[in-house]
Amino acid sequence: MQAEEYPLLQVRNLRKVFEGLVAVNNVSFEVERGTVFGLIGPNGAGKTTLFNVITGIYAPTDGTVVLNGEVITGLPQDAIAARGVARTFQNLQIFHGMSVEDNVLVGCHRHGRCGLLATIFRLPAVRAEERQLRNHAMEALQFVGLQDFARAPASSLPPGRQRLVEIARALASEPCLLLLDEPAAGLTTHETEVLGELLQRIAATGLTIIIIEHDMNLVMDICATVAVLDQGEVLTIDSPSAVQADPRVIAAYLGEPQPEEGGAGG
Amino acid sequence: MSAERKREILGFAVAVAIVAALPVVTRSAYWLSIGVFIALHGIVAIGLGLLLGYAGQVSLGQAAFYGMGAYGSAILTLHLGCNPWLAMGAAAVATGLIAYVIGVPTLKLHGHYLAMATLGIGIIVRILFNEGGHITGGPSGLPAVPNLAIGGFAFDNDLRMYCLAWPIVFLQVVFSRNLLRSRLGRALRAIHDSEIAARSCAINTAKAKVMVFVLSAVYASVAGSLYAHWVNFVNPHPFSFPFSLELVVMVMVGGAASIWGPLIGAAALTIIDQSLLQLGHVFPIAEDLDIVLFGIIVVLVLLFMPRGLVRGLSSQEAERRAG
Repeated sequence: MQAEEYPLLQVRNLRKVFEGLVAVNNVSFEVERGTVFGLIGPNGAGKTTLFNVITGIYAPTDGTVVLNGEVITGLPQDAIAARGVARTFQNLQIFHGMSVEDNVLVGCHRHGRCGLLATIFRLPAVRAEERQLRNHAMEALQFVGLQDFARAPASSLPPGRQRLVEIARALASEPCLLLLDEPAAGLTTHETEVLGELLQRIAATGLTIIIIEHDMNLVMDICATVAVLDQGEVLTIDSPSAVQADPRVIAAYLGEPQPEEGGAGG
Repeated sequence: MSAERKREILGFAVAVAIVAALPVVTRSAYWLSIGVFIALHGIVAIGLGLLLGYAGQVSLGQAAFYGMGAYGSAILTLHLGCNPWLAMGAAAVATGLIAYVIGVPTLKLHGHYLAMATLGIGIIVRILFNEGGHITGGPSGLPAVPNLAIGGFAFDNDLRMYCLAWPIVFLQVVFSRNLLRSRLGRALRAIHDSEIAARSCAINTAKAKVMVFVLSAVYASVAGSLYAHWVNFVNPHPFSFPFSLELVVMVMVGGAASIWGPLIGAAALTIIDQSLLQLGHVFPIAEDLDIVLFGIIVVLVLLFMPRGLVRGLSSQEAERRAG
């Protein structure tokens, strides 16, 4: 059977309970190849928890996640990442002690093969791999427009650019699925515009994306489908315009303040 | 050539020059033997520095791995008539395997389980050395361990050993540099900064930590073998817990997350240790002051230079330059 017959990602009856608190309840959806899927909902709706279950940070209480026809629930986080699921974090998780280029090079990790012995002797194979990974990282940096900051310490950049470092790091892994957790959180209006333009370009490459975002303009611009989550459950899955007109969605948001939910682990 | 690369080469050249100068300045067996001790402690400390600084894990049993190298060399050469080089290699492989078996279950867990496991290994190994009957020679140890030799040239005095041990240290510095400037090294540095982000980049953090732990154990074993073939004698005393602790202090003083830090820490503590020993001939109490002094040093380092002497001094210099 061809893998292409399946949607890229299938989430089936996913449930996550923390000590009696139901964070994600019976969530099911599918993401088609090459589309941008939006995930919205008020604070505490379980959006980040859903990301954390899909990427293997948490094991689900119940339900399955199927990537390319393969069940990935229960796999460790690094094994899921090795299958091409890349993500960014709502609370920035850049490597502070490293340069921008080295941050992005870590993203290339899954494309390297050389072992410890070859590495400490710096055999020709290691040099060749290093050159290849560096070219790769540089392409990702150019794509997000950070090529001039390659040597800068990542911690020296303003938050807006650190967000771009995270995106470049995720892109450098050449993922089949990219999960973006509130990429516009904490950005200025101008930075959000730059980000929107970047996300359009990423989507144009045909990469499948799931994005959690509060900025509705951004969501309307780039998403083909939007799922609304409320109190851990799917309220509706529809086109952005239909979702915006849905009275249940408006009710769920009513009186809810906008800013952030949870943490990278929340 | 980048400025960074120039600084790297300059630092290396200065270190080689200092080490090469000692035998020119003095042929005193006392100073040369201190030089050899610094090299041996440095080999262990560089490995422990990688573990502490990049995997964020403490081993309290490095002295036991050092001892496994020493006893492995002694037992294989004396009881089985093994060639000393072969014994050194076999002991290193065996020590690495033991470290792997300890590391796999403990490094999967979060927290400092490795510290506890290695503490236990240290105690077990000490008992085995003491109670090993004719195999280990018991508390009195094994005498007449043969020297390492190439053809007819034996490394049978302090000067010759000095000329063997230090190139190994420098080779190790090059190895560390190669590791840290590669995909595997970046993975380690990434784990140090954010484990959750490292794993999201497909890095198997447990596997990477086991790798560094095994490397640190192999380094310690090689140093232990060099020790045994140099002093021609092993007994349980040098491989017990206080030395494991002293090694951790060496790494903390010099700074774990730097290539040179642990080596400089090893030099500083070895010299302090020897000075106290000398002072002990005049004031007998000085010999027992080492543990007090090390305690004070650790507190001072943690208070004023939490990243160790090397990083601490270079960042102060950077601040001065920045005005």
